Amino acid sequence: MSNKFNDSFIDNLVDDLKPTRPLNIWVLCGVAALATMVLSILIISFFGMRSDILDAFKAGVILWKNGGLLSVLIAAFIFVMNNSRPIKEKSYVTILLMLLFGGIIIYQIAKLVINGDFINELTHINFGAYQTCMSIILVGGCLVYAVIWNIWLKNGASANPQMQSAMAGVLSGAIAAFSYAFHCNMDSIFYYMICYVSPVVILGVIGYILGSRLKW
Amino acid sequence: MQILNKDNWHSLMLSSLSGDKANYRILLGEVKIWLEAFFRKRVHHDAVDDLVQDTLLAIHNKKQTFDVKREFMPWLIAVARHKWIDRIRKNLRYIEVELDADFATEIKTEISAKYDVQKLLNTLPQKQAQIIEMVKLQELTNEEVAEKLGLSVSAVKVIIHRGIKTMQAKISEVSDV
Repeated sequence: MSNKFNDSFIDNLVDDLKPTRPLNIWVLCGVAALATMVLSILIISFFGMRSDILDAFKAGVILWKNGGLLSVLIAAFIFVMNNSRPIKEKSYVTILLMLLFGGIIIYQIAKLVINGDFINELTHINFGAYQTCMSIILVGGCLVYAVIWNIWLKNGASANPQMQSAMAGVLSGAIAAFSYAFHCNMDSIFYYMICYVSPVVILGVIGYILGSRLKW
Repeated sequence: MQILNKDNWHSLMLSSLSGDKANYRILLGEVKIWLEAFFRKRVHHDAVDDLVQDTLLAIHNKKQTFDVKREFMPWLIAVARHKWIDRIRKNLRYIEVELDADFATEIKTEISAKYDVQKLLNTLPQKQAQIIEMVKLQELTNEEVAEKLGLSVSAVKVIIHRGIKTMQAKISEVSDV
């Protein structure tokens, strides 16, 4: 008879067995959707929707500003979803959506260069209420990240936990930034890069640092 | 030799997830045997037991990451590979620390000790020094040395004994000064 039935280590593991629900991708979907809804409702309730929302929509501002953040949100979501298990999955859609976001930024800058407004826009950035904008994205993103950490990340087993956590940080930041963009009417690309993109990157870096705790 | 029924592992895992301890025990027992073979091909035999335990623990703690719609083996291999790579990384870090601190001192001490012994041996008659070197440094047995040099084993023992006594005396002289 094999010694497997006498193995005390296995005995301990067996004693510790409890019914376990496998990771369900819909839980992560639910968390991301709920966080986006709650943050959007809270921001609109406290600060109000931007007054020129219809004009901004017609001018395509909502498309590139909110749409750009939405593409980052979806890209990060797909990465986190695909990398929650030990088996690595390639995330081509993530790369494509990130490239799309990069393309949006380059297109906006190119438009300014072509119109001859580049230097003027760069030297006359209206920072408005940048403290509110950045702090809401950072604090909101941190809250969302904490929820994702507890509900999803710590139950996962990514082959690259730090990258997984970094992308969860980007996802959280993108959710907060996407929600805040419904209120904010600062549509300069430079403002967008400083007050929207950089907090998202900061959350990604925080996620990367915290990701070392996810090693298994 | 036990034949493993890998086709059964998927269903054993499913029932384990629902809390079936008997099936979980069978699964872990069989997986343990498979893991031992997996790691024996990849790491030094001293590290196999630790890696098997680490992997079994990872399987236990991360069983919720098993996708019930997929095969069990790719998941198991991914977990085992992760633990294996993790161990390689840890070992690389460990070697770096050793080289930085203790290892260099150890090498220096060893070189210095060898140099000192060689100096002492040079003070002895050539035959005596040769025999001590063969037994104490090259780690040949008394019998092997006796056979090589055409001496009796007891003669070799006596020569070594006298030579070491002489060397000890010289060391005492130096330390007294």
